[in-house]
Amino acid sequence: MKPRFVIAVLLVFALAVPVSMLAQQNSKEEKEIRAVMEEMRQSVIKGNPEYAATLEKYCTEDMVRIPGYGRLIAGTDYLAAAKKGTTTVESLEYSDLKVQVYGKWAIATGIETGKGVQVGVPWTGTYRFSRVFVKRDGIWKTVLYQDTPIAQ
Amino acid sequence: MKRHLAIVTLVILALAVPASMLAQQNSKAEKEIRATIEEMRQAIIKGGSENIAMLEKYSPDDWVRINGSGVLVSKAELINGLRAGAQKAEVCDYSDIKVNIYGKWAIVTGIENGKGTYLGTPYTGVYRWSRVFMKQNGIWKLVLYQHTPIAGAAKQ
Repeated sequence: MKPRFVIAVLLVFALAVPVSMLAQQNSKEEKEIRAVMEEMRQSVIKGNPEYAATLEKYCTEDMVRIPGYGRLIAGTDYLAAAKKGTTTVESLEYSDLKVQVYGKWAIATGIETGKGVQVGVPWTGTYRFSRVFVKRDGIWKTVLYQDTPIAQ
Repeated sequence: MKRHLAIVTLVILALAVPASMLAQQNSKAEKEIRATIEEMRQAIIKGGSENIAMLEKYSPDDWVRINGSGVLVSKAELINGLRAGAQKAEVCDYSDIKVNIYGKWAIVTGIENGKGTYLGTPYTGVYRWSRVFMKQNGIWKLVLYQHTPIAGAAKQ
């Protein structure tokens, strides 16, 4: 009976320790992603040169951006617009943030309320967004960022 | 001189072969993903049990779905809606599909011209969508799916 009990306890530990380590790891990754999002939020409000520098740091070159009016914007065009000043933000608040981590990939969703100009098009309102991140060279980079207006 | 030429040739080959293999691999993955999307589109049109079976096969339980009204919809909610008959697509046509492959992950965007009922609410319009897939056990699983209405697009 005792050896069986010992084996059962060892099995439980063998399973529980990796799960707990994974949870801790995901929690660490989630904190990193939330910090990146907050840094990006603050930089977009500050405007250039911080905004363009943050985009260069945290977005991949092939990033796909779909703003709340449904246009498809390539990462290079998005960055060019930020540098030119045709993307500006007066206010931007996030709520209901959720982050799911899958190793080197992560999906964040949330609600954003704000006002500004996105690649020359004015916007204001409340949107549900998703952001997909990939970790490259230790940095969480955005590869997809989409907004959908929340119907009233 | 000949030795230099041989080294340069070898280096070019060493770089070119993996690049060509990667391109072939990505092309195969893109075909698989486009086939999966078409299978999904047909299941959406057929509706009911076909759509439920498609969701069970291709969507993990923790998928993220943001519909065209900006609502987060869980897989369970969508399946319950299908069972209750509150979900029906009359039209679901795709265009401008673009696929980016990143190994076991893929990001796809496209345009949907759609008409139907989503969880009891009628919809009609033109939407830009994104789908994010993650390959698990040989199947491209849909982990994120979001729609955004295209402002000013001609509606049906």
